[in-house]
Amino acid sequence: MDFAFTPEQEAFRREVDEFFRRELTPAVLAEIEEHQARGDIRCPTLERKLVETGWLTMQWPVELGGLGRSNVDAAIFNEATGYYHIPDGLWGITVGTVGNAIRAFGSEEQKKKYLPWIAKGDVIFSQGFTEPEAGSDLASLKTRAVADGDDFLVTGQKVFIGRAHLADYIYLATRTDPEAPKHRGLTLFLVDLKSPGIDIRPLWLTNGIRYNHIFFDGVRVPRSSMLGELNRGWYHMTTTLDIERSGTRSVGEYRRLMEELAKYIKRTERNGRKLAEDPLVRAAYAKLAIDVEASRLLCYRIAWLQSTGTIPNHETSITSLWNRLLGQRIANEGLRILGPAGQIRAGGESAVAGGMFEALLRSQLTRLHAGGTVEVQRQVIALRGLGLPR
Amino acid sequence: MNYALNETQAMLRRSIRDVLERECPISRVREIEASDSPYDASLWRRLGRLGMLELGIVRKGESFVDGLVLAEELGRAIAPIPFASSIVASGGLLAGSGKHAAIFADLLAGEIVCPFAISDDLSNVDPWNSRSLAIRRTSDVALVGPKSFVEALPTVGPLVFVTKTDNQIVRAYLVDASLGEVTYERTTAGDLLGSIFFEGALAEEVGGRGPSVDRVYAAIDRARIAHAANICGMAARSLEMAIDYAKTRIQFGRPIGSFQTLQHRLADLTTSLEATRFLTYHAGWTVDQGVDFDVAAAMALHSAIDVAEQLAIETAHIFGGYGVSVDTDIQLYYRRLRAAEVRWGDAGQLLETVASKDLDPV
Repeated sequence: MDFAFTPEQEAFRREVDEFFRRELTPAVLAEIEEHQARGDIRCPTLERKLVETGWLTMQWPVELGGLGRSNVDAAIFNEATGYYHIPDGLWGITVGTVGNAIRAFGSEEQKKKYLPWIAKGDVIFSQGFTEPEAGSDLASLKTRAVADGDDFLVTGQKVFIGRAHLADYIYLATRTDPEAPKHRGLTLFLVDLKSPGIDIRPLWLTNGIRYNHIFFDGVRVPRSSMLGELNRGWYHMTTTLDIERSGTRSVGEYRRLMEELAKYIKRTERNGRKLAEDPLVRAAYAKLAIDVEASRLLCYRIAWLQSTGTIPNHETSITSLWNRLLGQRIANEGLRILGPAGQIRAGGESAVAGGMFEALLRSQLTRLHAGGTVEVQRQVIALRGLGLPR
Repeated sequence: MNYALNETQAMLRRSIRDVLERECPISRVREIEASDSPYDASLWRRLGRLGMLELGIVRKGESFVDGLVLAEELGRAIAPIPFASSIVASGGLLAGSGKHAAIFADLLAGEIVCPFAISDDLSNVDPWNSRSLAIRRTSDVALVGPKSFVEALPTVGPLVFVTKTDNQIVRAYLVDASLGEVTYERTTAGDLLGSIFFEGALAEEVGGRGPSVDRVYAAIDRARIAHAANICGMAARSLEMAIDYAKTRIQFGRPIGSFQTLQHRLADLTTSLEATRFLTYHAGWTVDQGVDFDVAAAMALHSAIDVAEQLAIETAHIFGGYGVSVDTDIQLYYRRLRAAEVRWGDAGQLLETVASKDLDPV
């Protein structure tokens, strides 16, 4: 067992850290806030600089516009984006999900068309999977793609689609064979969001971010937009879901929250006593600190496994489950320690750490369901990991 | 970076497991529990002769993580031997002490144990508040006072006694048990913990001039990490047994492991144990780096204590009534996991170590 970064990895970590310290100028922070106020997770100025570093596609081979860097390096970068709260609207889905899907099962034309575009940060994809009747039971999705000559006509509805209003394309899951068993009749398409027949309507979440309903009314989609094989969509989708991020962005976020919590505890007096001297506060803080350290180890374990060429399976669900539940504990204990200041939004004088903890209250539930509910994570661990019977 | 055991460690684990399967089957565990022996002396000697006990001693060029592999396997087998206390704690203080080289050699050979006596009814792994005293006279030291909760304490033989001196310093001493009065108490786990009372027994500082309080606490922290690894082993085997049972126990026409509630509880336990295991091995690795490991040790052990409690209860519970039947093996693990929660200090002390690092001025 060896938990150390190599000197090169440590140097990369410092390089990324210095980059963000340097580039998060007051002007950039103001730009982030401006987009946030519109419900968008973007930062155009910083995004341009990040594209220049090549870090956004760092795991891709050099000939595809990448840097050929390891999963551990990517994990190091992701941790920093969490720590510094870098909006990842440009690359979160576009590189990680769609870019990797195109690399894995896209046609040569699609690779030639989209991959350089993605590497240059010139295109944004949104992910169109979830429907009003298809959340955890994603395979039951109903949006139809009916063959019409050399095209398909798409009709249906998607919901909880992030950044669709900012995106150029949607990575769309459709049903092409309603007669087949549900997992065997799905097909993926890369649909141009400028196509006629697409109606995008806002769906606002409590965390202040704008998501969307998307209505497809006989949208004509060329066959060349099909990603992967006809009716093999489910298997393509689940493969890309398996190449998941290690979760280090959360590690960075949690480390940042703990630092702010420690600062708050050290400077605050309440009811005649310093919080830092209150044994209950100390114990609550310490329990979170232990769990954040465990999170760090579990996440880098995933990155390490990936770097050995193994595709982690239930290990990813273990890590994901731990992180999602830890996020609840940090939000909840943070609230108790902050007291009434914990409910004050950014902008209020009593707000703590720029409203960082208050914002958690409105975003923490998302961690319980986004990308697969905690119940689904437990099912994967139980069935795939422990071999328990259905 | 490597989150798996390396090849040597993996081989070590396999060979230890083989030895313990032969030399420490469950029947042997039950036999020792039913006896008046505070530990399994023949297993101890066997492991000593195989050169395994010395894995718990930190040596230049060797990894403490290897000792954790042994500790974890000892936990899997619930081997009734005092690895963390006699080897990691006491042995850790005896190591490199020229004066006590013979005792140290006998200890590692498994000929003797060397119990670690530190707690009493007023102080739990906290020698600053111990009832006992080491009275330093011109040419010798006399120990006065009690120790309780001592693992594997024979009535004769050397033991390490950690206490405050009459000038308020914490020191560790080597003293023979025969100079004191030994009594025993049976625990939840079924083992016998010893109490000993000295009324002016002559003792020697361990290491000659005596290690500083830092060395004493370093030995305690290494023992804590080994103990956490031991808990991981017990917990892992418990979990395995519960999963196997859930796959085969049929009720309502189907294996109970097909019910979602059990699946989710077992998934949660698997997750918690995984977290604890990495915290534990990370703490062991930190020892190898030659840097401070008090916080890492505290994190590992506190996490292990939580896991011990939760997992012991839930895995035994899956067996229903059989979980509390003495004929079933799961209750052997349950009782040992529960007792393990309180063997190396108060959980609050451990949290304090973690909190202090971030919340107190440097």
